[in-house]
Amino acid sequence: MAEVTVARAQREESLTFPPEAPVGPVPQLVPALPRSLIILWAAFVVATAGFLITGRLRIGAGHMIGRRMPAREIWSRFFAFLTDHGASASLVLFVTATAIVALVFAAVAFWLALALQDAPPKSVADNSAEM
Amino acid sequence: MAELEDSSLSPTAGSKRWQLNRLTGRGRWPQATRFIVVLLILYAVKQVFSVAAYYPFSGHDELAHFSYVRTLATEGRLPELPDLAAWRAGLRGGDPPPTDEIPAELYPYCRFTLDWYCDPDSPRWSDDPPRIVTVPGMGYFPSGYQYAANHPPLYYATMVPLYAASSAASSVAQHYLLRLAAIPFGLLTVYAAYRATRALFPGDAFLTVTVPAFVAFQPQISYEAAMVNNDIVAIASTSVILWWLIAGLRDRFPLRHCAALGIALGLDLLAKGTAITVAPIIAAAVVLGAGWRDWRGLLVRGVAIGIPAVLLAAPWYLFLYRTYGDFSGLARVKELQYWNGPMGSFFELLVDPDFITNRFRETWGEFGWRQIHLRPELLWAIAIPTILASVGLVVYAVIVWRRLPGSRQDPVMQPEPWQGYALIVLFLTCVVSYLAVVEFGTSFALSQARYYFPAINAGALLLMLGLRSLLPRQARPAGQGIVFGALVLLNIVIMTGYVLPFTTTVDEPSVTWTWGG
Repeated sequence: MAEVTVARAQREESLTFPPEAPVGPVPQLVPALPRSLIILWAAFVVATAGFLITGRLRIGAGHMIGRRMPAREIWSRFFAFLTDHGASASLVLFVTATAIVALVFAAVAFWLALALQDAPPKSVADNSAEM
Repeated sequence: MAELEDSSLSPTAGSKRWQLNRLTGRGRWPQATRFIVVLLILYAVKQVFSVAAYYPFSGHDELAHFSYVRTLATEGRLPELPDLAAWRAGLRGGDPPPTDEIPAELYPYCRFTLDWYCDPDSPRWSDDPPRIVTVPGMGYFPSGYQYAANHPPLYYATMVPLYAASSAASSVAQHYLLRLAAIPFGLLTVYAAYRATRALFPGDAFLTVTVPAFVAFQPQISYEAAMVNNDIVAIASTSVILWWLIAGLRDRFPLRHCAALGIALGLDLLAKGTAITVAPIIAAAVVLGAGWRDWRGLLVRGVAIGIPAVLLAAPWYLFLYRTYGDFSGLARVKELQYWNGPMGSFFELLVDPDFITNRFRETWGEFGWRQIHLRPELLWAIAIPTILASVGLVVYAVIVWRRLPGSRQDPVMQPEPWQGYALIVLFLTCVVSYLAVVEFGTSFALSQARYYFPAINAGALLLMLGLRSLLPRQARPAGQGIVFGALVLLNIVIMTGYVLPFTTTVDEPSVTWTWGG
């Protein structure tokens, strides 16, 4: 009797996947920026911090509409408002922290926004199932 | 840059490694992934702050939405708009029939609601808020009723567990919790903007940065995602639909994709009635994507989309018909809101500069139920780049149409046919959404910009595409940063100059709070 030896059936995934998926260079934690963009980033951060710490602006709504007030005082009044309306010290601290963390993340996101470059063709087709 | 072709990583293999790669985004565009992750974290933190920053119940109709959740949670039923004739007949008999009302304890916030005679400082009304008003020449009307009762139930049902779990807390504390629960819908909107952009122009840095950033920092969309309201659910679900439409155009609408679109449409219709404007957009996209000649394919896809959408939405619309005699409840709203008459005819409103200007103002400001008005100089600072971007979009259309030289190295300027169809669909979405607001204005004075907010991702993509077209290639990295930075600064200025001063002083008696001012 003739005997035929066949290869054992393999699961699809073992056929479709290479042993090690090719992985590109690991992106730097802090992507490099050209000097001009670093200056732009620094100008934005300094301007924002400067505005919040020493800036003044004209109030556009509420009881003090039209008055020019320091930004720092407006924010201080808000945190005092929370306390006056019964917020606990920890809650006020939490709300203050969210404002600060948001500003820090805005600075980080701004850096990443400046650093993002067009992807090389064919490397980024977003063809996933999409759902 | 990591480069993994999707063809080598078939999802049908179902391998853990494929899933892992997909989840981590390894091999796709890690810098872009990192940007969107940081943006989403920033957005979530910013929104938590916003929840605290806006005066309690000052969002449009927050009192009515909150009361709807309360009725659903405590009585296990949907609220109903009062029937004016039956209500008056009951009144003549000595007692008006039971009406779904905004709770009396919330009367101090009546200035942020529509149909509630508001005099919270009056000793007469503060303990026993008015529930009936007399309008000279028109008779009696209910006051302080739940005027959002004709809205579909999806958002409110989603909020019921949170409301029930916090039942021991005060109404104000519960309302802050419900505000926090709106944030995930905002996150979904921003994420959908990112995925839609990546699906349409996969490797373009300018659009990948600016489109989701625009959505994340658009002040009114952020406002919706820090309020007790159903608009943000409609915005999120429509944003997902737009993303899936773009992916569908690219993939020629496979049936599974169509079924998912149908489910999303059904949920959208259960979030807000204005979602009906999405239906013709989906139809147009499917015809463009599948080709109008393939009528069999169109029919099958239409069924795949229509069946889940109808199955999900039909019970609610049957309820509306049974309760109000139409599929919106708007006839009864019109009857109750005697002051909410038409603004003009369709064509009058279409070219009315005041109507257009007011919608623009509402698109960017008018927080606190139209009580916080942005100054003209700030509105101009927003309008000028918006106009520039619109001009840029026309420039883009001309370049693409005429296939002008100089654009050959730029894949965004050389769209594939399906990308062109996607842009048409995005444009149609904006047009239909705006025209629906105009049409609403022919019946109600309260036609508002937020009714077209579900088109935000379409608008953001088109505007940023227009802005991109005006920038030379070398200027784009700085350009995308400047757009991002400008949006952040806009938010800081609005928060510092408008929202916080309003919140901290709105209690003071000298503030004029006339609604609609």
